[in-house]
Amino acid sequence: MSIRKYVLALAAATACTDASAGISWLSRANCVAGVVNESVTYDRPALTSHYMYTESDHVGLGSFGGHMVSAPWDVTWRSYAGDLGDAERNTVRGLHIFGDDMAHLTTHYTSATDCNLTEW
Amino acid sequence: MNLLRKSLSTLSAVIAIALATSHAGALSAQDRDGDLPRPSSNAVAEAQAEGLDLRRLPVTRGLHIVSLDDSPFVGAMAQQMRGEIAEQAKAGAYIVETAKIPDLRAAMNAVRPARTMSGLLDKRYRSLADIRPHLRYAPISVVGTVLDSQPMVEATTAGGVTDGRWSGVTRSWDIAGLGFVQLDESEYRETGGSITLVREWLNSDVNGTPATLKTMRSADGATLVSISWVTESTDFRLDLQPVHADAVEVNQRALLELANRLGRPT
Repeated sequence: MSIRKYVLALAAATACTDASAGISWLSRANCVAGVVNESVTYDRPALTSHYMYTESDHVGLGSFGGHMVSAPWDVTWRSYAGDLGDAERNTVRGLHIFGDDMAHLTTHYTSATDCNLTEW
Repeated sequence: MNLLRKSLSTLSAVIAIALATSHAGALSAQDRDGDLPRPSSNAVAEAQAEGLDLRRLPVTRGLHIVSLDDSPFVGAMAQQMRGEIAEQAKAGAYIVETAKIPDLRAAMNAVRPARTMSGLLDKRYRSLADIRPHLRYAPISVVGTVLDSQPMVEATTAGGVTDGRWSGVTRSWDIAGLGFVQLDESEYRETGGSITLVREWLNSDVNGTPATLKTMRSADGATLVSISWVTESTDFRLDLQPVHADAVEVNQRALLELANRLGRPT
């Protein structure tokens, strides 16, 4: 394989493109009968893919500590970290990291105690 | 005995005050520095395998401009970036595979009509007046630019949501003779974000703000021209899917000029 082909193959394997300014992020707590807790990073309606990572920390109200779920690093249009079945009401804290064609890396944080029903 | 009890009581009070002061001190330092939570060790390990060293991710809010060598991009990914930066500087564009260049028009139409669940949930607006109540910040003015001469195709919310209002917006226009233009903006200062830019990619400026101006092309001719810049409050990006894809310099000049004309008083 020539050097150029190798470089192009490498680029194909690792590149992510397009804008990050259009990406959205949110957390939701105690949804759907109070059992769904989640954080999500997404690019909609464009549905274009970016490097994304999302963590979601769920802490019972009045508690110390809690548990964390995460979505793995991926090139995707939607990075989802959530679970269901938490017995108590939670505060959800999200960590959202996403990359833009490798010139730009953005981190945002969210916190929710309700369902944020204006979005899904 | 009384003396011992009094001494223990005094000692307890001193310890309690010390603990309270120490805790308050830690909190105020965190607030003052705006320290952010760190990614988990799992995230760090996963990202490392993808060419991102999250231990280098800035731990404070706001804008951070770092050299590629000090950035979270490492290994093969950093090497790829070096290549693309060099190619952009030398040829005014760099080559990527077709799948890496989004078709902005197709993406916009992909989930229409609104008969699917996804379509019903997508909120698309046809005018600034319609979307403005859903935004936390006033979008940058396009008055006096080529965008002002054409009807906006659509606008969608972006960024983070607080009390039903969003920190960002994406607007698009179809400009005859130029192409499909998409303007993204997202407030990050009050929203509490951290943005890391690679210094070597800053090859232009928009009204004095360092910017990245570049053209991605694929072997089959797909082209995306973009300029991005981050002000003290807002992350901006303009994308152009040009009518004349081969006119690389002309397209970049047009996009830079457009960027420089944004934000004029209405």
